Amino acid sequence: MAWLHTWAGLLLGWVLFAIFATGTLTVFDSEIDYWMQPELHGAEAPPTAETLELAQRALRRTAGNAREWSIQLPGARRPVARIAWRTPDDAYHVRYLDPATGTLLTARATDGGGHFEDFHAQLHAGDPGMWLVSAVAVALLAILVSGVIIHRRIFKDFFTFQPGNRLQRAWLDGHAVTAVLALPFYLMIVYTGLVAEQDELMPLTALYAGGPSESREDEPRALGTSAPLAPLPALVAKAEREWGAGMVRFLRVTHPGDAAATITLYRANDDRLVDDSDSVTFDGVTGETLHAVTIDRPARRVQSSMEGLHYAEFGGAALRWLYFVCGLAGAVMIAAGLVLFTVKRQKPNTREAPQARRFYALAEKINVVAIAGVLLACIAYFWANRLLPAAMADRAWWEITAFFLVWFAALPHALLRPARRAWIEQLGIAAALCLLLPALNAATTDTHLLHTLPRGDWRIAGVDLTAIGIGLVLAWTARKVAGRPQTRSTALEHPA
Amino acid sequence: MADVAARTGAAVFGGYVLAAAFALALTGILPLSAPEAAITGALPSFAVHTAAVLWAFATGDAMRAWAGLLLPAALCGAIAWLGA
Repeated sequence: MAWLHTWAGLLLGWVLFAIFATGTLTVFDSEIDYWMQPELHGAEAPPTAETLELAQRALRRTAGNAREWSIQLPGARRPVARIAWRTPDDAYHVRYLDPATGTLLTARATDGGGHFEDFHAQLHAGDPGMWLVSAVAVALLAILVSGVIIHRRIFKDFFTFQPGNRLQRAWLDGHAVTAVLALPFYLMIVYTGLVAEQDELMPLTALYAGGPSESREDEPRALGTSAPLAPLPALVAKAEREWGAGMVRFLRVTHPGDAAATITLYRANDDRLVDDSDSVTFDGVTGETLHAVTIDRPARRVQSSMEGLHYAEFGGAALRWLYFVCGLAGAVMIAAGLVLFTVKRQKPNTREAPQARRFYALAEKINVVAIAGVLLACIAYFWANRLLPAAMADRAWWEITAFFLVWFAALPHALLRPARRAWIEQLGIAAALCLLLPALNAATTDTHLLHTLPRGDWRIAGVDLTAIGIGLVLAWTARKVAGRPQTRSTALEHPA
Repeated sequence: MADVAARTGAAVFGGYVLAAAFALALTGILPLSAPEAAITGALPSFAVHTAAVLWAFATGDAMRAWAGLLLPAALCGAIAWLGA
């Protein structure tokens, strides 16, 4: 068990840290989305009915011949209505509603927090990436359980005096403390992550039981005769009498302006664990209720609740912060475990083959790339968002490319520099980029801390302040690494 | 090294086959509607896969690792086949 924990932990830890770090950032995906589109800052949405009227008017004007409209109403996390439509040639357009003028705003193209989510769930590699992340997730469950099994010995070690071994002790304690304190969270978050993908991961069960569980309804076809669309505010008010005020957050209109138009409203899920959206569909001309969908099958509700546990939409800001802190603890646990592997093997052991020593030296460098390099890439993504021209072609793609370029550049850097210098430099640059992010924000937008703090605009200020907080932790870590006593691994890199 | 590779293969592929067969067997015997049984069958399968990984590395040798996964998988497959 100790063998499995050590080696699976090392090899998979190199991927796991990145998955944990990006997953932790995904907790605040909407906040990151909003921060990354400063064109939308400052526009406070009017009441829902007024927003809907403005949106309907703007869509009729701009997208009168579209096959489909959708309206994402403003919520607490993103105060701007998002408007999208699909034209007959299947092109998809996204704009934002300016509540002051009723016109449509174009914001810079960005994947925002979605980039972290995509990397976290599938490494930006589609289905193969999803399978790889899932395999790593099962392995992490096994690593966690094997860690619990060997923990008995660790507990005994806790009270064993080991002179001259304080560094290793500190890393072991850091690894064990972060592991034990949030162990239920890790088991929960990994298992629910697998459950969220279970239809793809276990496709045979649905086939065996008789076809996929939910059949997609056929889109109604356009009739070709025009008819005015029913006013949206009245339908939303009707649905909200059932669901509660403010619970309609998303609307979809098919064939607007056609006699066969339909309007579907979706219920928000941020007041409950279940992650399935109830919906109600109206005739788009008469406003008559066509059908309502509520998923009340118990097994599906269990699965959906587990998905809700993973996505953490149900408990407001306090719960998101709890997830964020637990996610950070998980990242620290993985990082401390990786560092522990190399620290443990720094003492000379004459029985060891030279290949083993070379592997340990290489492992320390990969650790740098897998931990400090990932952090560097994440903060570089925020910088790319502010530095790339707002109207650049393929802009969202370039932001993600910046993330990967910085990460890949961390590898040759770590290989060329002595391991300790590589740690200090990559952690130091990441810390500097974090600490300077508010300054970059101030240089490129009007919604920086000097404006957002006095206004109490925590949605935007939260991103800048969190960057400062993480920057301070990284700077402290870099200083600790710089100040630690010279170890044998550095001596090994410069053989006499 | 060959032993580690064979155990890893058992943990990854043997473990998945067992987990999938377990999900099918459970789907087959649960007295639920088809979509409900399919969801309930797949829910615990990841715990089965986790246990399979631990078994693959804890047991005596690689042969036992594979046999200990494929035999119960065959049993689950038979249950699923009978339950269909």
